[in-house]
Amino acid sequence: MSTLDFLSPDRARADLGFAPLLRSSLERAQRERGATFEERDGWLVAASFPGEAERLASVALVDLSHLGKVEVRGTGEAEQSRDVLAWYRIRPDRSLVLTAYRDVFLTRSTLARHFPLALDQTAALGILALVGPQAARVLGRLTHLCELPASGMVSHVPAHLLDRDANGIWIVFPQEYGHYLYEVALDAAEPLGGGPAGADAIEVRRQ
Amino acid sequence: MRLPPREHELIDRSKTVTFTFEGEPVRAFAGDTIGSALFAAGRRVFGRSFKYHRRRGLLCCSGQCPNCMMTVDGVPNVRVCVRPPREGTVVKAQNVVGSLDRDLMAVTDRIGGPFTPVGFYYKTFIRPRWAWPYYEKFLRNAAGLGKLDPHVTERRRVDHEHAHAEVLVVGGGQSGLEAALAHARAGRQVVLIDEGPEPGGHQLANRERIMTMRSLAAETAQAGVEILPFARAIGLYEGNLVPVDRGSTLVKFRAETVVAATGTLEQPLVFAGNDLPGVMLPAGARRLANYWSLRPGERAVVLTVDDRGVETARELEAAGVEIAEVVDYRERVPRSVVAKGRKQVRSLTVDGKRFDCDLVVMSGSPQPNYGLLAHARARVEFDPGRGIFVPVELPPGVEVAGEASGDVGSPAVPPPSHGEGEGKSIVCFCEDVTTKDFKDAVAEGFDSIQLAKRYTTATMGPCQGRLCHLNAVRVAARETRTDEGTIGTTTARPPTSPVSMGLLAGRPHEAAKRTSMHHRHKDMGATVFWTGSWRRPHSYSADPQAEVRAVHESLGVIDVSTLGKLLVKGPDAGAFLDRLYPNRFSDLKVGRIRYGVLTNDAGRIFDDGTVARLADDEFYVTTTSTGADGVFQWFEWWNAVWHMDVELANVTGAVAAVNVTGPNARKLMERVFDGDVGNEAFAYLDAKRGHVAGVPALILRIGFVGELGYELHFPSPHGEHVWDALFEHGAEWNATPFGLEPQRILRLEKTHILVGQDTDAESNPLEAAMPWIVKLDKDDFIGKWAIEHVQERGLRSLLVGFEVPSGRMPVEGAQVVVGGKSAGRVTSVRYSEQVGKVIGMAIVPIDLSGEGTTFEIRIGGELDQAVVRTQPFHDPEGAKLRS
Ligand code: FES
Repeated sequence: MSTLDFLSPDRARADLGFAPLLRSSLERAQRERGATFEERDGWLVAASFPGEAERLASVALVDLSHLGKVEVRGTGEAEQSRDVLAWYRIRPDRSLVLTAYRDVFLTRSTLARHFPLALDQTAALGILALVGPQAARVLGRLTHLCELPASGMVSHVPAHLLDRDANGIWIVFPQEYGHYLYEVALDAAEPLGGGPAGADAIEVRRQ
Repeated sequence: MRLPPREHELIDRSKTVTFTFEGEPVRAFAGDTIGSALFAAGRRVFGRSFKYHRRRGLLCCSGQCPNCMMTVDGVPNVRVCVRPPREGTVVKAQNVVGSLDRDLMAVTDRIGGPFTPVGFYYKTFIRPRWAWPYYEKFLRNAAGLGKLDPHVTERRRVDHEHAHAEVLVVGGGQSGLEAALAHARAGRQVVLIDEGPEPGGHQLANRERIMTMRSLAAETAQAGVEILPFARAIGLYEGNLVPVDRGSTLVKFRAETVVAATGTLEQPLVFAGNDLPGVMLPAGARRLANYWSLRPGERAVVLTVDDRGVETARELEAAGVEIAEVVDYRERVPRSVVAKGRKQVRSLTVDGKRFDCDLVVMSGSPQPNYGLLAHARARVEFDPGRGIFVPVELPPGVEVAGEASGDVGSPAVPPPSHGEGEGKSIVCFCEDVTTKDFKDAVAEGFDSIQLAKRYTTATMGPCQGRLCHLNAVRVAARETRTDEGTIGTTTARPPTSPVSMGLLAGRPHEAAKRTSMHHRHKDMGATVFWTGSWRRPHSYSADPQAEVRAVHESLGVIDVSTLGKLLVKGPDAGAFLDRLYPNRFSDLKVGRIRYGVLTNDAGRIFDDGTVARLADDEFYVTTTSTGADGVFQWFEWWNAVWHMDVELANVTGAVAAVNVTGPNARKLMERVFDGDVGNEAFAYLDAKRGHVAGVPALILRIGFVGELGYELHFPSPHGEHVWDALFEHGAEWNATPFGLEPQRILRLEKTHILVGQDTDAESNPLEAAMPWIVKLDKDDFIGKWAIEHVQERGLRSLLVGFEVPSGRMPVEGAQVVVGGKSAGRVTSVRYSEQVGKVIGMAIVPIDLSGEGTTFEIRIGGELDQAVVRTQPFHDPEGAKLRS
């Protein structure tokens, strides 16, 4: 067992009568809005919402907190495995690497061989995708940041912003702000005909 | 009152809404504004002036002047000429005592003249000085704008939105549309904003041009220009930031290029009676006739310096208005003009020739609307040949198009005013400033336009100089016998027109942090409160003492996820911490924990927490809940300064933490932990890794609350799973959640300090009774020099525990009194059931810090005795912690 396993939710074990379940910090707010949940790779994922199809025509808010996130320290380059969804260089010696959750262990292990520190930040960060034609408009109601990728304040929350083309704009934020940020983003989106949508509403692709 | 349906009118006669004005229902067509509907219903007086309460009617019908401001649905100062009504809208007159038609305060106009000269506030009400607050109250009520209704319950939703454009065109008139089209065709992303419901500018009120404008607008939109109606730019700031008022949204545009296509501001002419209802600007009269099919009057006289007045006369004739006379200043500039009438204009006398009329159109100078350009520091010059100010030098990234650039033809130059002595000639409509006021101001020495502006308050009202700046400069030039170029302009500052404070403020945001178990706490009945930016449980019932009892007697569980958690990793990690903390960590054994306080350069305590060594090169540091970010930045700063081989990571949000504590804590741990929790294998101050309820966890055996305890650290998204498992498996021992308030009682029983509560900006480890934590034999650490100095000079005060034998409860912060003087303070106090006493901690003078010493505390204005206790009140030997 590594000394830092307690940072990695994927090190959980469903044995001894326990069935650990991972919840996003947006889970309760999504439940209150009628989400249908499904268990996927140990995560309770909001798969769909009633009426989400119309929202996609404006702007849909999709919780992708269940993706794997690894923070990498150091300036080196690692060959990007096909499992990596996004590699965001926060500064020259610090990057955020996003993967599918089931790939996070492998990605972390690979990166740890190339960099001084490869830290599992899956538990630390939430991801909220703004998807649809009005996504940039909602983002404009939350932050002055526009040239993506970018890092800065989004509704008073420190966040990273990634432009994912068809997968929308992703706000990567400290998970403890999740409930707040989700409510603020919904509040900005609803007057534009937007609202929540489930993870199945988009097909998360590598970019 | 309506004309028969007219081509291009903006109203839809098949749809109506009804609103009320002063309680009476008024019917409006779709496309009407409140102002046009009231005019259609026969209303001619729309407001009362600021100071003299003179009758005011529609003047510009374009939201530029102060004349039609009313209170709409409780919101004062709404320009009703541009505000469409909704069903049930409640409209009231403002700034009147009585009604708009009979305003008792109008007496100031008739008899107040000699008593209300310019600057009368300062002159008349200067003595006696003590009476000023009473004068002020009276004056504020007598003069001024509408009143905010503090009881209005409706809260308007407001938003801020950031937007970006390669080109932002301000103004949707012909030149704005053409500029937008040209930029769009050059491949740039263009946004065009316009104040009205559709682009077209003043040409929409020109029946011959309206279709041309509509097709130009359609062509512009087709070229990809985004056109935003009802959008008003309120300023142009550095970096081409243009805040745009869109009613309920403030859009903050950043643009590479800003094009000001803001057109002209039609200027009034200055003559006696120029503010009577029925005296209008050309745009006002044309809009009434062409937008809303209303005849502005029956018989009109037109005074004009250029073609606009002539065209207006034609439009009015087409609407059935008889034109009594058109006075074209290009042919002849009249010396004297006087308008007369009581409730509204009834006649106009021009150079002695009287015309009966109920409408006067005054088309003064077409002043380019350069306000936005001036915000951006464009240079503006006076053009004496045309009598207007024009922009001559523009900053980079700013362009000007059309009339705003000075492209207004060759208008005649009207005189500053047309004769004196026949009633008030208004220069500033907003503030009721007359030509005489200017004369007096200059005579009193206020001879620069900046001083005259402040003294007379001309240009400082709601129109922000739009309708009075040019005339004020002209009158000032005449009175000072100079010229307008010498007088210059006043400084244009944003906002260009009034904007509500609520819109500027935007939506309130309280960025709240919640732990991953937050909703479980709410489910269990917790009262949640703010601690820093966190929402945390205060307690789970009205009786926090019950939660304290549960911890002492059996088993308590508290969410401590808010603790700051940092990783310090690298070959120099131990040495790094040795330099940061007064105590030593390089000799800490792997798997062990040590308490530490952090001091700044001045040796003052600013945070505390535990440090666990996970590996030779790896430490896990906890901080206070509110200190996490500050401590992390402190670490990063020193790491950058010292260039040590250390990596730092703030894992506060990644890791949830729960403290399982009480005599039965071990029994619960045996059920949920996959390792040995016996006292031998897992001793006090050990750190172990393993799985709790199947979840990877780091477990710290520490005891802030004084009972056997295990602090479980695990990935945040497992929060609810672990919390549920602890209560499910702890049910046998009646596992009880406890909040922050019980925790504070428990830690006080142990006299464990809370940094920030029991320490302040002056506290150092020695006087905070922690000499054992300071290793002065180390080479160096931050604050060492200062702490050595404290040791040399000797301790002056000490943080001690105390009890109050009388049982009375001082407040936190209560004074420790020695010889009638404040000599310290109570930092924490609670009643402890366990101890059976009021207990607390206090900073006391050093000579009063010995065990059993008594000192006095002020409680409710009286002094009471307290007794010093230097040992913890509960389990002083720490046997329970180590059990
Ligand atoms: S008449 Fe309404 S603002 Fe001028």
